[in-house]
Amino acid sequence: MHAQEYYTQSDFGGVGLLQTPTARMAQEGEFSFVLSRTTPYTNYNVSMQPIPWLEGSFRYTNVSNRLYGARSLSGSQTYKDKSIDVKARLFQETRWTPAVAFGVRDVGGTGLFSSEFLVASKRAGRFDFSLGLGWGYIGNRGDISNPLSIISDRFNTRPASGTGATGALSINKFLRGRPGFFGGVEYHSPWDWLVLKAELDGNDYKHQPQSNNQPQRSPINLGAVFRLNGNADLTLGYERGNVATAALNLHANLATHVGPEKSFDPPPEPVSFTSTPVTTLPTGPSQGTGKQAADVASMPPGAMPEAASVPQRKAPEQVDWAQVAKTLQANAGINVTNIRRRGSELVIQGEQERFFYTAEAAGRATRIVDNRVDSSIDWVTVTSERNGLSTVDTSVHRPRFIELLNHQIDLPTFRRSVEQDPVTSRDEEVLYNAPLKRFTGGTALGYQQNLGGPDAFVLYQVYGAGYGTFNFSRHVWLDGVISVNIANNYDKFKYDAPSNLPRVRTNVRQYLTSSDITMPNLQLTGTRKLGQDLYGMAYAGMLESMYAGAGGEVLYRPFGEHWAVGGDINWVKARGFDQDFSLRKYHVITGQATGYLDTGFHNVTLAVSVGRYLAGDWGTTVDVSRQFANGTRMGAYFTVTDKSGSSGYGEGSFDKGIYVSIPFDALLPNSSRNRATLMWQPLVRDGGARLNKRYTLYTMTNDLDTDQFDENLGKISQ
Amino acid sequence: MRRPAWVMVACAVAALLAASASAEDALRASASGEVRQAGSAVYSPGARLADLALAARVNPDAYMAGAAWLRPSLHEAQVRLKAGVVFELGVIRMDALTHGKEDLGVAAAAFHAWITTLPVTGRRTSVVLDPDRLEVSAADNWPIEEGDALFYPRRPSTIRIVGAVGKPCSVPHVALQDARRYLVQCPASVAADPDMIFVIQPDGSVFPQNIAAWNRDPPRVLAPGAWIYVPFNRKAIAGVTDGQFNEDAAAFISTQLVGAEGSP
Repeated sequence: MHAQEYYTQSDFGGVGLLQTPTARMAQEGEFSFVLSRTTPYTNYNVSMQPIPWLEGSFRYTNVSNRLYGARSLSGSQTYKDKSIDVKARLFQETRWTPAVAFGVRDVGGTGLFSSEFLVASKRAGRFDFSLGLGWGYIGNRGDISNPLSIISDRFNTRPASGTGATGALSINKFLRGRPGFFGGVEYHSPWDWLVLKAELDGNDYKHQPQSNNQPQRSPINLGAVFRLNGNADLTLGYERGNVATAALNLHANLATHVGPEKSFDPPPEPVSFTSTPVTTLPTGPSQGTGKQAADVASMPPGAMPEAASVPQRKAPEQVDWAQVAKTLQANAGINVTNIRRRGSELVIQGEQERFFYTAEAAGRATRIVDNRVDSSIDWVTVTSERNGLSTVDTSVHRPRFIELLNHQIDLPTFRRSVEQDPVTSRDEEVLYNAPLKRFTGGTALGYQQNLGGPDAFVLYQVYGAGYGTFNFSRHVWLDGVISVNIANNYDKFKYDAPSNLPRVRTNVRQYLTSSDITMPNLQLTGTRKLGQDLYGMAYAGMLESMYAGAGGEVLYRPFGEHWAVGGDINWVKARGFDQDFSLRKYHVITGQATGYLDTGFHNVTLAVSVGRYLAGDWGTTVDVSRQFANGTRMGAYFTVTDKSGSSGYGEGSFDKGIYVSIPFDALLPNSSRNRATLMWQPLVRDGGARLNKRYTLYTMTNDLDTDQFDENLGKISQ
Repeated sequence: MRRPAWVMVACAVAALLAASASAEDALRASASGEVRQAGSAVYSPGARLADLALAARVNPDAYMAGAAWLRPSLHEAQVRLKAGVVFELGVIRMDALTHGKEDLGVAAAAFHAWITTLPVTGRRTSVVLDPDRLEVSAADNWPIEEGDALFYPRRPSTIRIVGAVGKPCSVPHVALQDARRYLVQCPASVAADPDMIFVIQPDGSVFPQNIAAWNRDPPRVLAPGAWIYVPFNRKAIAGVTDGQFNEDAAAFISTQLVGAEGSP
């Protein structure tokens, strides 16, 4: 732990003092939720630190003394604003020079609080000093004339901001107008739980958005941060010389987060440490009784397996593979398709349904095989399959694995005896073919919400869902979902966002409110491996809650490479608001070609799509995300199309959002492959909207992420 | 099926060889220091650290935090490590003298003279060697190899400070004192890096620690017998070393034994 990592969040989210940012960054992987109140503003901020030098924040601001709109529409609801911030560190601190960061607050939104700033921070013992120059909201006092006016006179004036200024990228305001100085000092007291802050506010509160000017007696703000525990900070402050403020910060590090003990998982099968390399022992069912007995006798008393539980190891031909397949499903989470043999290698092909970490499942499978099969098998291979597509072979050298479990070799040594390979067909003997399970289904409770609209801050719905899948074969299946409303407050939902484009997303209200029983999805899907590393999928039906149609996707994802390319094309027609089998008039051909690149830089993946969007607009989506070793992902995306900006997009100028995707495995006491993705999208508009496909080939082939396997190889012995 | 006689003979020879091989599988390992049963003994194949540690009958007053596991197979890598450090020190000194950086040259020469005298031990660092803990912790209880040795020292009462210092020092250990505070008693030379030190705890674990006002880490308490390696100024030696010199020097010092030769 380094002292400088204890940086705290500002009122606006993001590491900083009270109203102003500093050049400091939170620890890599930090995720913060800050609720702060400074009359008349309440900020709900979410901040993320995907890479050490980049911070992103998303915010809802509630202005408690302004109404959202006409009373007829939004009643007494107060004004809400949404914004996204980015801050990047340009220089690290050294002995003589400060850390320097450049940031933008409220980028590309309504621009109520929009600012650009350059800030430097230098630490001296327990004191951390910051000084910055801010344009826009943060530097509204305008201490100096704009130094950039040397370049052009247009930097002298900042265009008006506010809700009226829509349809223009706020980049047009960048660094314009008179900047103001801000800064301050943060003092880390000798007690870990107390941090004191004093700040010079660069804002004069005389140019507040919406003419909501505030009195200010002093430009100095004071605050104290009480670190309640490792995950919660409480900030109390006194700002503008006349208001008391408070902020609560709940934070956690998603990169270093270790999930709870998996106490609901079945324990892995114990092994009896008697496996020996195939070359040193004769084969056959009668082998090794003497040696086995001797080994068991030499084991410490605690490790002695009970006589009854020492399984009888048999030659592969004699093993009851149906029983093994059942055990593999129950203990290793593998829904077995078939079991085959290639000489001394046993191949288990199936779909991993439970374990997030491939290594953990491979370890469990090897234990199960080790307990049942004689030493004529010395490699155990698990072929990952997903929706009929086999992607990767994970092979474990059985004797080496047993040595690892017996603490005879360490993980780095073991690493050389485990490998991942592309799936290839070889000379094989099929030992077992699992019957196809025709029907699977179930029910679930669900929750969905719509935040920050004019009608109510939270529009929520609790629903029950029934889902089912009918498998025609392993490659072709029909699946669907029926959703029944249980409770919601959609009666408050009256607002339809205005639109200059075909209403491809903005009639979300009608889709949510028209019917209590809906069928969000009913589609027939088929997958096929079109060649080595080439995957294909075709689908037709009710593809998502708003669109029905047919389409296909192909993906080329070469094994062991860090890139992939793919494309999809769909003909879709808008569905009726009741989400039954009815259709509306609007139809469009939409699809994108997408390139994926794992840059190798901090595990950052870049996905760039080019194509036609739902409103018929042509454009590009750029999605940048960082995945941590534990599978948590933080990312941001934006879509710019020919309808962005002033060409019809409307409020918000272009589509953008930030998201965090957390594996349930990191939260639950049982293993799970599911993820929760939290997306913050400032506005739902018609431009740059994409079809929400139920399946995508890139996620289906995610087992090809061999880095994830390597980073978590230690899980194999758990 | 009839087999020719030579096949039978070959089988018999192979069986004999296998038998003698298993006799050779027996391991010789030894223990020394604060143990009642010092010296080497023969262990069966598959023996583990706990077998060796229990057989040695470690004295109750042995200093577990400083116990060392010496492994012949690690010698070669550590000979290389030492040779690299010694060679780079020579280069640093030559470069300093040609560029008139006398302080750096003198400090490098002094450290060179000192580190050359250190033995290559084959110590495997950061391991648990307390016999009781080994018995209950399977993951720490590694199998032993031919020639392995355990050394249990007495509890020392000093901290040693080496590297870019005027003269290597041995200063009294003070309970709960931050590593940085020991430096007052053993002034760093002008050639030292002003921003950081390496703390080497008696079990051989190495911790870089930032000590300057702008980057100071939380206090780190030293165990008796710990080392502080004061690194050479990174910028001053950047042109002539591979950038890992200080880490390598700290890693080599971490293989030294507590309370054995090589003390300043």
